[in-house]
Amino acid sequence: MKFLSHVLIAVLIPLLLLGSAFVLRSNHLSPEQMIMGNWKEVSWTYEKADNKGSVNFNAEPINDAMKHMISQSKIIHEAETWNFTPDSGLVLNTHHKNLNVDWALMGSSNILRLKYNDEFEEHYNLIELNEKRMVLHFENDRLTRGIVKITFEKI
Amino acid sequence: MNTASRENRKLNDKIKFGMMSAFTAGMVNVSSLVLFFSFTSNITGHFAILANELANGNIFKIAIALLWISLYFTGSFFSNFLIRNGATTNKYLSHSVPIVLEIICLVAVGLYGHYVYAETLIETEILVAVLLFAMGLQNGLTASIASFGLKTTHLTGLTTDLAIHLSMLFKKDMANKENIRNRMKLMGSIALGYLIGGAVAGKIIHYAHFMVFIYISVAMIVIMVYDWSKTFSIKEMYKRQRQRQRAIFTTTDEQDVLGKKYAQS
Repeated sequence: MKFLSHVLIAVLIPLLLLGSAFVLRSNHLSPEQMIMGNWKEVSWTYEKADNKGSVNFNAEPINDAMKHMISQSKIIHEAETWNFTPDSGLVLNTHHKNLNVDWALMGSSNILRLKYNDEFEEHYNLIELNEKRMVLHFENDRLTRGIVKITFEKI
Repeated sequence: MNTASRENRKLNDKIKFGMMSAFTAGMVNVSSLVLFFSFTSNITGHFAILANELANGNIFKIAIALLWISLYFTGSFFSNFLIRNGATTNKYLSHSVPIVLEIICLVAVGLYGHYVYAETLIETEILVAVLLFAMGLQNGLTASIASFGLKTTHLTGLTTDLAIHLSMLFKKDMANKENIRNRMKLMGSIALGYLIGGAVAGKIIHYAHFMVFIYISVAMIVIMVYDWSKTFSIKEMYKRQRQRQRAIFTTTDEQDVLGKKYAQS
């Protein structure tokens, strides 16, 4: 009898924990669903940077010339709008062409992984995601070493 | 066998078992970090995420953190439950059940990842959960076997203990304490095993991808065989000891009888 009650507890405790986690998960919109649609880049700023001399990189937005330099070797180079589609596809729209890449959310949906042609792979930290706003961070070592913050708005 | 050499043998066994377990845990952690961007051999980070998401009110992420933590908890719970309830009947069986369950989890993740995984979020969450359950099983097993003094899947507590023991050695009256040195040897070996496991996984993961979990399962089978051989050799040792003691008693009894006969004559 005592052994049976132990077994019952051994089954009930994990089931209770797992059940509550699943109920919570299924009743809310997942980040994978939330990210779908069109997002427009609204700003590029340094979240953290090695400030050189009197220049405070943290305070100012990154201008177009700097943005061009920073993103030159990246998949997202010159992208203005990002269109996430349900088939794990992402269309990056620039003013003269579209680039199709694959996307996936990894970890505890805190990493956005982009893959181009199964050759190039990039990772961005998904800092904030809601119905209106998305914030990505990535580490940069071009020009000024630091963490670059890209802010998007849903369109 | 005298007490000192028996203690030495016990320590060597613990070092080998601890190093092998830590080796596999290191491999699992680095593999999951590369493949899923998530740690699976410890849950301190997941507790931090849970706390942060609680503060932000992000229910979805709270649920995921809860799911992962509860799976690790469940693994440790089952491990100790099986060992404590099975120890009286068959020690080896009670040790091997958590290892077999862990192997099943690792093989499942390896095969699913290799043949089915489409990199969706729900798949990632479930595969990470399975790995956390497996690591919970392993940590529960090693901790239960070593009376809660040995944990091989994470190094925070171990590093703290190692530093404390090292500082003890600088105290003059403590410097010669053999058990402090032995504990340090054990902890150092575990840290080294974990590091080597992680480095090996980091090296082969780019070629092996999800098949790395199959290799880890093979390493787990080696641990299981080692545990079996130790349990078997300990059983044999006690059997031989009992036979020897019985032989000594019999000889002593015979001598007594002969002595009495001599005295009577």
